[in-house]
Formats: sequence, structure tokens, C-alpha cells
Amino acid sequence: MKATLADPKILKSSIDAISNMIDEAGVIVSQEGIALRAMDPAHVALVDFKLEKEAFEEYDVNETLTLGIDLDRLNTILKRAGSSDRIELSTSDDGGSLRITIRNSATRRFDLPLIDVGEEELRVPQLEFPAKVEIDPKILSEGIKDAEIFSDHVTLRCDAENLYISARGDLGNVEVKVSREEAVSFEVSEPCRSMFSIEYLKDMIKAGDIATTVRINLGNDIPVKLDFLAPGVSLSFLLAPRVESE
Amino acid sequence: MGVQLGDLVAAREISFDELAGKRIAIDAFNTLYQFLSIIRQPTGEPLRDSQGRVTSHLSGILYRNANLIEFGVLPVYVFDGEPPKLKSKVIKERNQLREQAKREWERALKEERYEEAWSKAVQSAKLTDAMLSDAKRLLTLLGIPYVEAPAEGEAQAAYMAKRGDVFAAGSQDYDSLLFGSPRLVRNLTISGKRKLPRKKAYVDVKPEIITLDEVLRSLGVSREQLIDIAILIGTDYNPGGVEGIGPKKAYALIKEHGSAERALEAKGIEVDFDVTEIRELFLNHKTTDDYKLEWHPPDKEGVVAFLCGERDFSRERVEKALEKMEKALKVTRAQRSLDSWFK
Repeated sequence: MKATLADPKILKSSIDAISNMIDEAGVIVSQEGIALRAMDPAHVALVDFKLEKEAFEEYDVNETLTLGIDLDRLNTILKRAGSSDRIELSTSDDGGSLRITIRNSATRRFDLPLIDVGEEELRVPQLEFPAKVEIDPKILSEGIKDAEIFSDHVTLRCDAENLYISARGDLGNVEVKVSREEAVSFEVSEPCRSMFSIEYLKDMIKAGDIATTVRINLGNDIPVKLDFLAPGVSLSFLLAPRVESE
Repeated sequence: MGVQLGDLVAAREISFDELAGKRIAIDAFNTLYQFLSIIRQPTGEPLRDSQGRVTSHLSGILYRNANLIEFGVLPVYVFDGEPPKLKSKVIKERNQLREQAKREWERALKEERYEEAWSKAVQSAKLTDAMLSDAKRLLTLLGIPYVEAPAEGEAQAAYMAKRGDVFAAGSQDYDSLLFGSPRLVRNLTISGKRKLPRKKAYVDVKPEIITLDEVLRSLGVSREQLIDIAILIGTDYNPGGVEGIGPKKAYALIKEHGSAERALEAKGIEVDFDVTEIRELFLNHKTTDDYKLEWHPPDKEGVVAFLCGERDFSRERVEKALEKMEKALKVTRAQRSLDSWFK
């Protein structure tokens, strides 16, 4: 296999967002592109990541491979790539490593040994979301940082007119309101709310710079699904809710 | 050590996912001995700091608990108090065995027989008062509760499980079942790759659960009778039990005669221990209600000061483990898992 990215940002930001939650995963490389689907060890978050072959400048894959990757290490390596560098992914000659070649004024070659991961494919729970709101990822990111001032969890709530990002704590409360006009798209069939851990959301929102919008799929005390969509890329996170204490 | 019930009780492998969100009362002595035995260099030398103090137990407490907490398990450690008088014989024997193993270890090292050295070193592991206070200090810094049992730790863990304060007792020994724990989880703190004794091979150890009800039902005995089976095999209170009687024979005898006294009488066997007294120790052991089960985020600075400042641990690794713990603990208590939405 050989796949070259002219713009490393998408891969860098996606792996940065994923690797803090998930230590290792099987990355499926096929003729269609590169895909990763995994849950964190506590089964609180699920990531579904696809980088289609169209996203690559050059994509030469003839068979389907599952590569067991230490995502933490991969993230450390990708962080070494600058924004104008080209990243080439291939397997090492003996097939035991993922080879990451960073090209700019010099050629830097990293071999990351592959690890043993299960081959069974993870299904994604099918959920019905009464609210689907698309906003600028920066609004979500800022809202979460606002909420963090007072709490380690945040409530996401929708009614017919607005999306609310709010938090309550012993030291104060905060509410961020995004009206349907301020949203990129806004579909809410019934009011709903769920509460989530900020720790996880902060990791997920690191993927914000790969897309111009994030779609928030919300329901009542069910997981939230965040979709970051850009041409050739789809990165979705599913996050289980917290139990709201009385 | 404990009772050799392994042949009679059926264990079921259990995944950490199933244990997520569950509180488990772990036998501290049993677990610390495991750490002292397993966490060693190839020569059998335990981990030590620059002043020569053993740190294997601290390494175990930090990294194994970080793993458990990351899986969503909430551990509480139960320390032994005053051992029952009947246990003094076993304690004396164990100390002698350790002393002997220590001498053999030193000899094996000198003669460069490293495999034997390793196994002798493991047998010579001794838990000192300094190690115990180290362990408690580290647990406190990690935000993990511990309980001081008035007598046997296993009895206290069983009591807490019976009351429903914890889901299960955690130990390698089976004694907590005799003390009445509804569930026993084994291999909790030693899961993963584990070296086989006297071999260079490794096995993959997974946690397993034993349910008291299932054990009693499958054997068709009462808890009193299970205790009697144990007494015939030998417990910490009557080491060796009855000569020539192993698990299978003991089970057959209790099935046939109903109790240890009647079995011994029928077989005309004289023993130098008091069956009633031992049975009573298992049925009504001294326990306490004086415990508080609360888990707090680790005191990161405190742990780093202790382990890195005083005991020469790698700061990078310690901080990584602490971050893992802190993050996992935050979600464990109120966080649901996605599993409920997989159909």
C-alpha cells in the first residue's frame, strides 16, 4: 500500500482527537480508503473515522489490510509534521510496521511497529435523534470551554427555537444559546436534553478544524453523535450520556 | 495460601466490561504479596529505590489500580487486623519457608542458576510494616479507600459483599467464600501476561468470577458443609487438615456423613484441632461497620512527590497513569456506557 496526503491537517487533527480516548485500534486500509472504528476502554465513546481515497493526492491500495496501530505513538509522529509537509503512508518492507514518510526539504521516515488487534468489526448502535443541529465547531468548542468554568459535565438541550449549552456548579452557572438563525441547519422535532462529560467532549472537539460545521445529533438521555464532515472525510463520535443526579 | 478449593469450585471467565462500575473489596495482603512476588527483575531482585527500599508493591498499587479504574472498577482494599490465635501455626510455618527460600535464593544467585533464583525469590517475599504503611499512604494519595479489618481481611471483604456495599470480594484465595461472600473475583490485579513458575513461558491470565450460590448448588451442600470440606482438606487454622484427605475425598466424606465431626467419627480418625471452633471462625468472624467507601481523584502532586521524589519512579510514567485514573474516575460514577445502546 501507498497513500499520500498533500495536506496533513485532516489526518493530524483527527488522530489528535481520537488518540486521547483510544490507545490502540485496527485501521482498515482498503481500495475505498482508510477507516477506523473503535471504542474507548470504558465503552463511553465510539469513534467512526473514514478517509476516502479522494482525500489523498495519491492512493495505491490493491488489497484490504487491517493494521493494528498504537494511536498515541502515531499521534506523536504526526505532530512532527508541519502544515506544508506531505505525508506518505505505506507498510515497511517486511510488513511489520506502518511507515510514515514526511517530505519537505528533507525526507523523514518513521516506522511504527504494528500491534496485534482483534479483527472483528465493531457495529454502531442505531439511534433515532429528535434533534439535528449543525453549527460552527468553534461555537461548540467555546461553549464547552465556558461550561468547564463551573463543572466537569455539560448539558446539551434543544427546543423549537434554540440549542443550549449549559453547566451548573457550586460556584456558578453558565448557558450558551445558539438560535436556529445562528445555526447552519436546525431540525428539532421535539425538545430534548442530555448531559455529557466535558473531558470527552474536549477531546472530540479537537477535530473541529477539519470541518466548517459539526452536526450535533441529540436526544433525551441517549448518546450524542457529533459528525465532522468535510469532502472525502467523515469523522463521527458517539458519546454516552451521564446520569443526571437529582 | 488459603484453602485448596480450586478443584471443587467452578469459575467463569469474566470480562472487565462486565465489572465496569462495580465496587470490589480486595484482600490487601493477598494482593500485595502477589505484587511482591510478580514484580521482579529477571534475577529475582525486587524493584528498589536508590536507598535500597523495595518498591515492587508500590509499582503494583499504582499501575494495577490505574488499570482497574480505567476499566471502571472501583477497588477498596481490606487490610488484615489481628490474626486469630489459631492462625499462629500457619504464620510461623510461612515465616520459616520464607527464610529458607531466601537462603536458597542467595545460593542460586551465587551459582548463577537464575530460573531457580527467580522462583526462590518469589517464595521469599515478605511484607514488612514499612511496606504496609507505604501501601496505605499511596492508596490515600490515589483516592482509593481502604478498610482496616479487626481480624481477617477476607472475612471483612465477605461481610461488605454480603451487605451489598461491594459487588464481590477480590482475592486469589477461596477463603472469602467460606466467610460467606456471595461472589469472589480472582486474577483481578494480575490479569495480563503472567510468568509461569519455574518456566520461561508466559500465560494470559484473565479475571474469573465464582458465585457462592452456584458452588453450593452444584456441590449440593450448605455453606456449613463447604466449610467442613475445607476443614478436612486444611485451612489456615488447621494447616494440612486431615492426613490423606484431599478435596475429592473431603467432598465425598461430607456428602456421605453430613458434617466433619460425623465423618471423622465414622472413619475413626483422631485430629488435634477443634472442628467447631474453626467452623465458628468462618461463620461468625469479627468484622466492622466502620468504613466509608468514597473514591476521589488522585492527589497528583502528592503521588509524584512520594513516588518520584522519594522512591525514584519515572515521573513521565507516573503522571501518565495518574491522568488515566483521574479521567476514568470522573466518568465511572455517573457515566453510562454505550453498551446499553448496542442491540
